[in-house]
Amino acid sequence: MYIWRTLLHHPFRLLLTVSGLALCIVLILFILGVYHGVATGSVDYVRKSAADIWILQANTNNIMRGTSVLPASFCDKIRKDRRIASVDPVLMLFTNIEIGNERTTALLTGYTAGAMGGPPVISSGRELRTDGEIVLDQAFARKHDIGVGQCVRIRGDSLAVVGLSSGTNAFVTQYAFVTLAYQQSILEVPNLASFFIVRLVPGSSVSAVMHDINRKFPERVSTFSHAAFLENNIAEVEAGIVPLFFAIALIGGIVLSIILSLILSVNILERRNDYAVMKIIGAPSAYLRRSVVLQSLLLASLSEVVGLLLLHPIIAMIESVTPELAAVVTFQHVVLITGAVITLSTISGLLASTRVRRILPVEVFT
Amino acid sequence: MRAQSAHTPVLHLSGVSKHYHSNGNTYSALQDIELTLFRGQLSLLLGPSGSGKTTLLTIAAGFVRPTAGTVDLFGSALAGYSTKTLQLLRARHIGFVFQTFLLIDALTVIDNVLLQLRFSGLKKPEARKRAVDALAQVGIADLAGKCPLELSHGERQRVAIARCLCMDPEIILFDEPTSALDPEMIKEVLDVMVDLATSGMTMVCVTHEMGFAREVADRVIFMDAGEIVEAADPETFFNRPQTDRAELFLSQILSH
Repeated sequence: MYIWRTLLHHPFRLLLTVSGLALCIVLILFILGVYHGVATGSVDYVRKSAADIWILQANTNNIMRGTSVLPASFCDKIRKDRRIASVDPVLMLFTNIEIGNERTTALLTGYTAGAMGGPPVISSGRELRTDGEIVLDQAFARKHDIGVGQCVRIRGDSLAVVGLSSGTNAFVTQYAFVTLAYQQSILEVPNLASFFIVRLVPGSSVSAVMHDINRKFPERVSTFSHAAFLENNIAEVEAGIVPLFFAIALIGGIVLSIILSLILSVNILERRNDYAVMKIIGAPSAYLRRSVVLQSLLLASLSEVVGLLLLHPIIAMIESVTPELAAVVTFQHVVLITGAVITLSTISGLLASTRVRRILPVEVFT
Repeated sequence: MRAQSAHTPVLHLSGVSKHYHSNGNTYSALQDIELTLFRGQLSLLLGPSGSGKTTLLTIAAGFVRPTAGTVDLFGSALAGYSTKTLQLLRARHIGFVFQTFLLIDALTVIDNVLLQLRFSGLKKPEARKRAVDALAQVGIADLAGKCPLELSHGERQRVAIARCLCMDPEIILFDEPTSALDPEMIKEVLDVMVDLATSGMTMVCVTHEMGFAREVADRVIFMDAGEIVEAADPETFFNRPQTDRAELFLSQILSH
């Protein structure tokens, strides 16, 4: 009761404190959400593929930040193995796309229409059928205000947008899909692929086939099982963005702790006489410490509730401005942030309570 | 402790001195104090500002350690009490009333009283009954739900007294309880203190209320410059002071 009334004694201060803390919590949750969105979106192209084996140029183990160039003709040589059901070449390169007067960059992915290597999910429209068509990432399309039925230009060629895909937003760039033949034609190198996606005949051994491919093309290719290749790509994404997001989330946590400690210290100084009187009338140290920690927990809990209420409107607002910043906040994130908020507020409360320990009962004697 | 007879020493100070050091100088707040207070007595501490009255109270309650000498409270040396024992002692057996009331504004009157009972470890229903009884004893049961800031100064001081009474203390220490009150409020607080004195409560009071001292006190202790200059019954102290310093003090006080 004392704690609650003390906080309510200055409603404007309470409002400011809760707002500040709530925004810190929103920031941390948003960063977690963006991290999750990026980590998921970046590797969905690989994750959702039905590939059994991925073949890349030797010494390349991922498509996130690795460059792989192979002769497309390898495809026919690989396909000769009876255990292999299909081999599909994919050519992936950053390319400028013109939208009206605007010029932007996308990860242009050429694949054989109807084969593997295309968009993992078509969210609207349809898949490619022929050259002269393009499928864009939905966040990319939203950002550039373009939709199915409209056209974009690549090196002077007009391509009709026939579909929008999801799971193809890699945060720093987005995927766009064209036919392999068109991709090769704009590069003017017909016999070129970035990697091959292999499907095996049911019952065939992935490791045995990989072993034979490696033996057939010594020092020319690297082969990966689907699971290993997915793991490589996830590790590459995390290595690139985890430190950045961790730093931002850490700053958010530090700011939250500082605001909390500051407001608790101000409350303690303002209520100095109360604490001195409580000491005089026999308050145990644990009670005084608990009252500060509870005050801290109460402020933090209230802020988290406000933060959660503000989260979705704020995310919607940010995504309307930057659609490629897809934040996916999950229940696990909320549990994680609740744990962090409880820990930080307990620590802040305990640190602030050392001020109470320094208040002497004799201060209130005349 | 209650079962002990009257004339049992409640507080005994022997050779107590308190020195403070500041900027290389030593300041003596108390010097070689010898004092024994008995159960059921109302002892008044008189003296000019800076004479050591409040320091004596803080040492008696164990808030400040003396530089020299021993303090026995309820028959045991305070120096031997642990911090936790001292805390429990204050929560259960020692009451404090201050000049500025020192109530907690954020709490209602009854919650202020209940706080002390909570620290003494009493169960909730019993604590509530005691709090209501204590407020009734000082005549403010109807103010239980109000906040201290809604009360007059006299009423606030009565709440502070009720906060002491609720846990049935062995001794109450008053530090100038009427100094911050308007003249018309002083009487209502003194009436409560007179009732307590009549009921046999052991009390030590720092005050400048000479009329109260003369009529109700069992003993007047006059302090000056950190020393007990004179300790006598009120009749002797006010009519036949034994020292020049006491005579001068009385002449200055009573001339107003």
